[in-house]
Amino acid sequence: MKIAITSGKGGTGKTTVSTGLFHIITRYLKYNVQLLDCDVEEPDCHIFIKASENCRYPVTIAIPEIETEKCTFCGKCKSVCAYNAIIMLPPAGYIEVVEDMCHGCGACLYVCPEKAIRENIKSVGKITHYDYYVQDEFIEGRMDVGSALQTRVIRETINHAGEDGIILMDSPPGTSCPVIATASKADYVIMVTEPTPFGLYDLKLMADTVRQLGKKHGIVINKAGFDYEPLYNFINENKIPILGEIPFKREYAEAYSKGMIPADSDVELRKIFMGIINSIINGKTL
Amino acid sequence: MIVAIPSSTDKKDTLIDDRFARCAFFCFYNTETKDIQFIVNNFKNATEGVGPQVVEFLAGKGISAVYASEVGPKAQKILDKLNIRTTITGKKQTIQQIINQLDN
Repeated sequence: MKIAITSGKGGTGKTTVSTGLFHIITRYLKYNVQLLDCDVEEPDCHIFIKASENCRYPVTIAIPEIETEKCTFCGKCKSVCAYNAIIMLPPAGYIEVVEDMCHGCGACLYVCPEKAIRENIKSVGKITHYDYYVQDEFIEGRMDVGSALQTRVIRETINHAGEDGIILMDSPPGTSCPVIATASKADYVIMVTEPTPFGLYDLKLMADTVRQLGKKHGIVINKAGFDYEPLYNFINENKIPILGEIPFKREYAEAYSKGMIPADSDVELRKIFMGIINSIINGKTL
Repeated sequence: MIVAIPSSTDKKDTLIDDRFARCAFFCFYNTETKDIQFIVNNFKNATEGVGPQVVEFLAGKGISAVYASEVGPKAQKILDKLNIRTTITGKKQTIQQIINQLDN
């Protein structure tokens, strides 16, 4: 069962929930579990999950290169390019692939009748496997500096996960392509929010997204304890289950700022995380 | 030589558009014939990779220079490859003022 941990708003506690759940499951429960850091632009789970590196894989795409001498400027490659990455000016004898815009789908290579296109392999990121309590328990996707293909690295990271047990995916913030790439592969989506106008605003966007993706979903309220009624009104009106509420406590923030997992030493928090897991897996056999 | 200037409306007395590839109109000015033409920028609301597409469009129209207050890096790269000269202007200039500069 794949569970994506999303939020809409950044800084609500995706990583707190992901690493907390992961640690609690692997240490105290019987399920097989894997944690995937899908926030490939700024992966941060490794700060909390002190695991040892096992192996590393490159993530590459094939960028086409057009040999102008062989090209007849028929325009077939340009017409199939979904990303408008091919710039062609027949009078100037100019044709080129704009690398930054190419997603490496290979369509141009496939349609070229002159075989004037060849592919060059380009690295866009890397995937690292770590051993925590168990081998390969934690997998991190990380994009190369300067690359812009988050979705490619995210999909590849998810492909590296096993099939069994609970797979936790720490999603990027927001509701754009990288989040869709993560959430669309999930069986269940956790939306982490906070009792503030900002938290609510972005939660609405995320709830809309998840509904359109047709995924089962629930909410975790982090920094709970502030009396912000509109959030609870929204949750009630939309009948979204609250999986758990993590109280706003200075000790949690302090532990987090030191790279520790607050749930490790705090019994109350451990119970909250166990409650979240039970709410999700009740009714679903793993 | 035909010069392309991003414009916020199709009138000579308006300010140039701050955005190059996502401007409302392009003003084409022919420095030899003094002919002025305004063309709607159909790429204004395109989703991705607007810069290169606009450059491709402009080059197809026989433009050999661009006057703009800012040009994105992807567009600039292709402008350079096609030997289209880019001149960066101040933001608060009208199309007429730029045409006057070109005439002098």
